[in-house]
Amino acid sequence: MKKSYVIGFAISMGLLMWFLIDEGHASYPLKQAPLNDKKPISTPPAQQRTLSQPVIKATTKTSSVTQSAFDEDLAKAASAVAQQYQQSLAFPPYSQPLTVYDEDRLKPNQFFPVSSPVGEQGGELTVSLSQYRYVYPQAIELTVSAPNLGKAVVTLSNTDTKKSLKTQSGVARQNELAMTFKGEEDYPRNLQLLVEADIAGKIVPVVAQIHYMPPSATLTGFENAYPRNENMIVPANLTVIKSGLYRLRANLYSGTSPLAHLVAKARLNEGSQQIDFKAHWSVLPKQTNDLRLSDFVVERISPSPGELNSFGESEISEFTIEDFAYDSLQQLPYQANKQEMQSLEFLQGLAAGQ
Amino acid sequence: MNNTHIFKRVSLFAAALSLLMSFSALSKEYKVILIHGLQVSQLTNRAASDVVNDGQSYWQSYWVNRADERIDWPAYERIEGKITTDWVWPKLQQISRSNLCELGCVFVTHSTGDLVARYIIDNQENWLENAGLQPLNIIATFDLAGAGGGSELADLAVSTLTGASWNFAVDAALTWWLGSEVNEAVGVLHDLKVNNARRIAPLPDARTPRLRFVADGNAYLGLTAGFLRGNDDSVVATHSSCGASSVNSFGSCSTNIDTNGRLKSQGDAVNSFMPYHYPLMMTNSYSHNEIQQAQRQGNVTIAMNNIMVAGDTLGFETVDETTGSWFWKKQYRYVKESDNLSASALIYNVIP
Repeated sequence: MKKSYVIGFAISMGLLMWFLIDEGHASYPLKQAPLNDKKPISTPPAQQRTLSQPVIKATTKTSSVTQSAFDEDLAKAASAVAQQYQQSLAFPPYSQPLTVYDEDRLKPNQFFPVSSPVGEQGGELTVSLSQYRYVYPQAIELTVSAPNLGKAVVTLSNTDTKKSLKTQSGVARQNELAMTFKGEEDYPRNLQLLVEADIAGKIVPVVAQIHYMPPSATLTGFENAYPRNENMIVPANLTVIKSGLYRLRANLYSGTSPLAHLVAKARLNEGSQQIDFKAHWSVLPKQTNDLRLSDFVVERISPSPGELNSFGESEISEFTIEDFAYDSLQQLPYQANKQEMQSLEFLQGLAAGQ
Repeated sequence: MNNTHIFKRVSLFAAALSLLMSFSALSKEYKVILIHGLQVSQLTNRAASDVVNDGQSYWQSYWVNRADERIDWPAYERIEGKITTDWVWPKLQQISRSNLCELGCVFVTHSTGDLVARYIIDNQENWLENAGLQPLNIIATFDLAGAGGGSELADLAVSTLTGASWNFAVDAALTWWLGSEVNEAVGVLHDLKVNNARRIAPLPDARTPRLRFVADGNAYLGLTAGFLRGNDDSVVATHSSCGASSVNSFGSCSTNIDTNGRLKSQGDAVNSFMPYHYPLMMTNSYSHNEIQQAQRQGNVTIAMNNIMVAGDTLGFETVDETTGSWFWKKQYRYVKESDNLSASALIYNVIP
């Protein structure tokens, strides 16, 4: 019995020590700098330097040796970056590989729910919206949720001017309340939804901000895919309302597996227009019987500072690619452009410690 | 008379020289352009703000005399609005006309500067070409404590400043971050909301490498940390500073090394990054507003390690330390010289 107490005490102390030396703080004393090491670096202050004084190299011979040792270390970290960058340059920018983790490309119009903590006892008031960017006449759908949620008042206003546009209120059922604001043509681009929720007698606010705009173009459909040199071409049909430089995005899937993020860019006039998506052979599987495009984004790029980008809509949610033969493509390697090569050389320069 | 004349000439010469030397990183192969982060004082006292002087002061501790140019901007405006039209655009035109970036420029950004840089990278080529000017040759960016993924603190601040105060802990956190005088949600505070930040030029066409330097240290008595997802530097969460493609509670940018340098499998590491975002260094010794300063705060570690590249596993030479033994044995990896140089000095030294 006595022995078990000793063992128990030893285990407790061990766990306590393990806890205390966790997170690396306990490791520092081995190389812990003296207290005065926290003063500014030993080299002269930046403002006292002259052009002829290199920042670090103006040290003793000994320190320049350690400096080169440092450069070598970070250089090797940089070499991994350079290799990763080089790998991505093997794929053209218009046809980049895509994984299930690439949420920013897989959900290009996702709204991340916004929360406010309710009180010291925990719990959150959360507002969720169906999407971030709306084009007229889309309705704005939101859900408010919180433990002990009672009544909620939602005010739609112009984010920039703070002018109130519409107000709705409702009482939650099972801690949740859904609301819809009908789309209006004259909504400003920057819209704000202020939710003021009564939670067990306490008024808690949370603000969601979104974009609302008239559509600049509508994606109406696709033509069948065909091969052209090293690319599978998928022509997209649009009705352009406002001419300009357009950037379209789509994700290419094989079944449910994401394959590539495709980007097409072209200057388009008003009316019926066509723009070609290109999928490089390097992102395509040899079995091409289950390919489809989805997650479309239609963007009119900002032509000049102050004239903001705008977005369009899509009449279709996906397009299935049929009768396309992988073997019809030429397997030519992609050549990165001059600037990309310079960026690669820069990273390789870091890696070489130059 | 002659002496006075000579004195005047010398003074003029000194003034001109001083002006020329205000951006003086001439020893670097690539030109360094600084883009600062949020300046809270500009939110509280717009009338008294001097954007250029504030920009100079922001980088005074370390970077100001090591850069060739700065892009300064006021916090009381929006990024896609007057920050761009009144501050970024004139500077882009000036840089283009002067051919400063002809051989290549490197942006060094801190905090919200990350977001400003992304907007520039996505648009500058189109804007400058449409204006008949040569686009800038931006080779890479060095993003210190990048806020390109937004900050949950901005979500809280906008909710509190738009609605009403309701929670003591929230008030305390926001007071530490913004001070007690910000009484209106304005300007870039909106852009820093997580949703807004992640929808500002999220996927630029230009494949400019974004090298990330991630802080994970404590500030503000730890009062802000509870409102940020996963690990954080007291202002932005790791999902932002690492450049993660999703908003989640991440503990590290690396799958096998913690932000404190501990070599251990990281189950909560970032699993996907925004395109061309590459974490390079991490440290839990520096907080958000320390990483761009001259003062050394502690050790730093590399952000990537033993990653699989084309089937090969890469390792890096670093200083490894072991603490304890047997059951308590732990291994840490630090960047050499981080025991006597600041994070900023380490970063500056690797710029070619």
